[in-house]
Amino acid sequence: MSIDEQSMSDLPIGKSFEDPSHESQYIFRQILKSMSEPGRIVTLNTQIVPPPPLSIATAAICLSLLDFETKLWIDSSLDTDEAKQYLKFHTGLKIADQPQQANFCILGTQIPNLDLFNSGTEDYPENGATLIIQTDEITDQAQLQLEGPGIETSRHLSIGTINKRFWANRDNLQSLFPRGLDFIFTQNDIAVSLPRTTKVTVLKTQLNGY
Amino acid sequence: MTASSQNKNTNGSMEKPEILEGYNFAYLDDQTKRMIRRAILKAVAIPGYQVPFGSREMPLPFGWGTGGIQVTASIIGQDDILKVIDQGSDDTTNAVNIRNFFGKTAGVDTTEKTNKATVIQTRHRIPETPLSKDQILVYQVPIPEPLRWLEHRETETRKMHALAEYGVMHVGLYENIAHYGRVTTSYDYPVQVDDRYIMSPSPIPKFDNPKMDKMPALQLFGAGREKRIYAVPPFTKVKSLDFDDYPFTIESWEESCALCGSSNSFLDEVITDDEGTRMFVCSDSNFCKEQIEKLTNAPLVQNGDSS
Repeated sequence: MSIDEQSMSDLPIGKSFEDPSHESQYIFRQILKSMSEPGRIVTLNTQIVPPPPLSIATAAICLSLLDFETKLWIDSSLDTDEAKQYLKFHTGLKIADQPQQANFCILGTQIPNLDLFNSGTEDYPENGATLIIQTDEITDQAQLQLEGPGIETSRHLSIGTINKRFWANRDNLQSLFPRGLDFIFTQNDIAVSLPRTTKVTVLKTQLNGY
Repeated sequence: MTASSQNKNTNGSMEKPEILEGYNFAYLDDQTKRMIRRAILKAVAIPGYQVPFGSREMPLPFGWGTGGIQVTASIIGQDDILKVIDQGSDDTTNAVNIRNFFGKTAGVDTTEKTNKATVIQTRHRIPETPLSKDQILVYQVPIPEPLRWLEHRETETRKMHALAEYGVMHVGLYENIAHYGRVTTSYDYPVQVDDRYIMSPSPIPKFDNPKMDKMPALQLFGAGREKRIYAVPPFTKVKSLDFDDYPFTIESWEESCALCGSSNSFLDEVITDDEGTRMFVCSDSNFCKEQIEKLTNAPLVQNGDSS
């Protein structure tokens, strides 16, 4: 079968999983580990080459979990044609125009007000969205103290530059539990999750960036 | 069984069945797995809440562990080591068949040893050997809704969960005490997860309920016919419902295991002839073997081994 010039130009740049079934499973298990042990930093070892500005971890999570049944919203800071084309081509996902319609969202460090996103309902809290946030740095330094399900006593975590309002905003949202938003922070090929149940204390003295 | 094949199996892994051609890895197609994986992640994020999912037709009837199998199929990878138990035993029909199913469709290693397994699928027991971090316990669940016996309407139970309106559960326990002087529920004893959702622990004996509390392993629950998945993350508070003056208690036996002598494991009563002779033995067959091995200092032949 020959591929004419028109359809060639529709092909996305970048490389997806070489073995989709097993690589999806591996990425999912790493995300499952991170979601069940909030604050635990996991590495997603994969050979994929996503187009910028998508990080390897962000793209791997999308390739592993998204398909035609899910709607993705991409923040304007990361919303490039190459990124959208890559994700649509490899997963068949739908792009949402509004954050409220999306099951998954990709965001940069300037996180808008969390009221914009779908936090589910009391009857169906699982409809709350998963927010994938690309940051510049994730370490286990003592910037944040985490407690809650999945954490034996407490765990420390540091997440690069994120607007100040975010943590207070997330704190307020937690009063709506079981409604809520689940976060996966990514940087290069690492990821860390904060499900809606995790209580975050900002250790103010350790804060850097502002 | 030759001496050499016993040696090969000292780590508890068993000979692999031939892999069936023509099936996707672990039977389910990837689109189904993604749907189930998304449900599992939300279940972990909302401990004890039952997430609806599109349960598939499996090559065995509902009631034989289709929910657990779909969860296992969605999480299992090539490097996993699978253990399957049915009422604690590795060698009963359900356990043998599910183990073979994954041996044939995924080609994964299987084991009877609790501490060697990375994924353990269970029907109605939690192994006696404490589970560790990085293990995953998958429960087969027949009726996931703990309120169903008191309120038949799904619309109502959903509201009750949404509002944490659980008074009726305590009324149920109270009436039980008023009638019989104690709580007579001995299995599927309801628990409250992380002080929020009331959850069915599946029909495990209440003896196993305390093991769920702050368990280092991730616990996943799959109900195939009822199309629900729920989860308890590691180190999460799981409390069995009770009253201050009628605290939760577990079963105890005056007997010890007739095979290994254990006095702190869950015992099955086995009738050995038609004259009513009976013995009590560990329900957890692998735990029992390990106890005997400790006593005799010699490895026993594993049941699933073939030469």
